[in-house]
Amino acid sequence: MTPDPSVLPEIIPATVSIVLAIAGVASLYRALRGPSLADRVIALDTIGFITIGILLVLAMGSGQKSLISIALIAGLILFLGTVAFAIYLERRAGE
Amino acid sequence: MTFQTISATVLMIFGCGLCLLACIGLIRMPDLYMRMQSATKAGTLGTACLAIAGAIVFAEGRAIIESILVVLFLFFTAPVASYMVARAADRNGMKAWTGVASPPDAKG
Repeated sequence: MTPDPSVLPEIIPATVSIVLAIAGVASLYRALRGPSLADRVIALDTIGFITIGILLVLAMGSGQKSLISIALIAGLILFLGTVAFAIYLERRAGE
Repeated sequence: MTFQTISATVLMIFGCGLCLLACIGLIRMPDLYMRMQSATKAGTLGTACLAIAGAIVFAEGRAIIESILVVLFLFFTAPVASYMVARAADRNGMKAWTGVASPPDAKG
């Protein structure tokens, strides 16, 4: 299905996805440099949010509705990953 | 310019602006807890705005339900995940930053 350009002009998803990509690359700075492991986990969490945002913008730009389902699944996996890291950090503190 | 176009555009710009703010906060804030609150709150709201924009653009049953599910899921899980990381950091002995924010032109 092709998107209806009368609903959303093509320039808007393009611009928004460029801004989101800049935000994702900038959060990578904290993920690489972060003083503690928890900082890196939070930075990866933010990158995950931005990934979901890019998927949603891509769905709007291309007219593929199934990309919204992928965004939903990405959110599920993101939550599981962050919670797993948090449990690991807590176990490490207990030892 | 229909109502659909304008509201979707405004929500998308708002959403990507909030995501950018989350990432600026992540880089600039002085300690883990501040970084965490900036990233989680702004990131959640930014992504939720993009999902609502998706619901408005598609304006069709299944896409709307899935977008609302994305929003609900983010709003339920992001605070839980952030809280668990904060608790783990606290038990690891991470101290909160107690300094005073200095103006940008201050010396030392």
